[in-house]
Amino acid sequence: MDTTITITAYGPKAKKAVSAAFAEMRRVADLMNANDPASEVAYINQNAGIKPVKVSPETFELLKLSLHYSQLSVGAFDVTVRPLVELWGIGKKDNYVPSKEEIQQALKLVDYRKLVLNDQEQSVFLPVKGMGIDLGGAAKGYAADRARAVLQEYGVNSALVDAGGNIWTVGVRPDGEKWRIGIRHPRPEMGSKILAVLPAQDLTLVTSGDYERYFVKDDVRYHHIFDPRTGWPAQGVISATIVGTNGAEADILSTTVFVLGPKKGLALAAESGITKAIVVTPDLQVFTAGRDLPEMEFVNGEKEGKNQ
Amino acid sequence: MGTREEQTRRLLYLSLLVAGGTVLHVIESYLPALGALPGAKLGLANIVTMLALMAYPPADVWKVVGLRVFLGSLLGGTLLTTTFFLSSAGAVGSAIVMMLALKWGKGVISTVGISILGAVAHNLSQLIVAAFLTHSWGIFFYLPYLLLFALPTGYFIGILTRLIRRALPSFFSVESAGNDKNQQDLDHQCGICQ
Amino acid sequence: MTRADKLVIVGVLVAATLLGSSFWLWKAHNQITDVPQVIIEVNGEIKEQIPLTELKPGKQYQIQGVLGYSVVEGGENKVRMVESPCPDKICVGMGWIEHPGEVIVCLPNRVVVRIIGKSNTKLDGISQ
Repeated sequence: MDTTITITAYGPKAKKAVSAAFAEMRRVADLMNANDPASEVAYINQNAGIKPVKVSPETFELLKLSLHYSQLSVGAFDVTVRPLVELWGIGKKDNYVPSKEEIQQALKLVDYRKLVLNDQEQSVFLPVKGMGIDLGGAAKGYAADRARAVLQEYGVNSALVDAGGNIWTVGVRPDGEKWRIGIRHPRPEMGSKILAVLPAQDLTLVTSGDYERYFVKDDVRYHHIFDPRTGWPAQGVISATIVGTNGAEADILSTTVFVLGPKKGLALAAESGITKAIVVTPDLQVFTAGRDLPEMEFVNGEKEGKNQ
Repeated sequence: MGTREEQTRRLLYLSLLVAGGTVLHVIESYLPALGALPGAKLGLANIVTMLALMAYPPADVWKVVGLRVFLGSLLGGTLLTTTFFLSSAGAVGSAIVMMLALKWGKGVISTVGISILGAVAHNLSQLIVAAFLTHSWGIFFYLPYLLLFALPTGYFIGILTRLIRRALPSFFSVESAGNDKNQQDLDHQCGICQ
Repeated sequence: MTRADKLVIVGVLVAATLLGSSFWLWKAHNQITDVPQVIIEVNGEIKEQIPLTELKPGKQYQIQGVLGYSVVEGGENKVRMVESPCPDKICVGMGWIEHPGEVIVCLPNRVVVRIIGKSNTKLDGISQ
């Protein structure tokens, strides 16, 4: 996970807790980073079309969760998106736009329905060579969940975990106030850097935006969130924020909502028990979900989007 | 108070100072505001206050300061308006501080230093009156900017005052010889310093 | 310049820096949890109080001061003085203010526009 992680914790064992939380996040990254050849996920991918791979319970559970949302979204989220990620190589290759043929080839290898998860053996099997799993849309949220759990094990009841923009708020601030978390405006060049501010306590906020990793070629913005059904960067949404109590789930859902678009996406999030979400479309319309949103301060007076 | 001739001369010089101060006061009010800050003014009329301070006792200085604010405001049409109170405050505040600086800092501090202190006092007293008039202490937010602003304006006014004083030696040779001597020393000192 | 002159200059610089930084710190600390409010006062009396986030670009507020009407205009989370009956128009020249602690003052008309409250830029974290 090539992101900056900041953990702020208060309490008697805060120092120890923070280093333990960092170690835990590193452990999760080592397990699930598909780019790291030594990770479990890379091992699964290396054995695609060869043999099932037995994995740790947590990797297995996260894969199960990812598969669940792949099914629920009928492929708008697809945990086997790896071939597309490698083809485009956004952030690695130099402004590379693949040909239609290349994308068609890669798409043939992207299909969550072929993924075999064996509960008894805790094993994972990709039946076709070239297929691959990418937990990029879930692992960061899961790692933040783990960091939060470790902090709590150390008795920390006031902390903030910021894993590259994935936020976990533990308890309240030392001054007794809720944590004030801003949601990045997807187009800060239009004025405000912050879209909205949410006072948060024991909540996680995950935002997927087309501004994280992207390049612009011929006036088209190619970013890192793909629609696994078309093979192209998803259009129709520029930022999707999910507020919840499960970081892995929020991470998956922010990606899913980003691909599905405001209407279908927010409906699916609501179905999954998410009560707070914000989606911004390219015309800068803001869609929100949830009855609890009044406590959210919108910075730009852009509240005039539609409530779902 | 000396001979009749000396008294006449003193009256004449004080009148000239009042006239000059009045003109500078009016000119200043026509100058565009320097920077977008209330109270950020060049403080041209301070030249006259300083000249008066160098040659005459405090009672005479107050006459010059009071008359030039009154006449300047009368001519500028600002008498008894907000501007009037502000310029009175600035003029009185800077006169007091420059008077004290001259008294305590004789031979140590030069015209430039005194002028900067005067400019700071000018801005500070204006700000206090402004806060009082608007019942808002929030405008003290400007104080740091005004302090910084007082440096170049005070310096400039101090240099101007020194030049004028050198151009008018006779002005300072009649009354209060002691005071005059100190000023001579001061300029001498400055020549070495720079 | 004498040594005392230099002392005066340094003193003023130090005072300005100290005051400026303490005001800044005060601003950073003195924050309430509400949305910043734009407050328009005449003679110290609050005439208008508008949440900063509710300002609409182009929306104007006419304020009766001691000389006449001052016109205050909203922008995207900012506010400025567009018309004033005062002679020097310093207040109009000040342009936009947007951060808590900032003020526009029109002394002749006794109109003060200021922003109070929590700064939106002071956040514990940003979800991105």
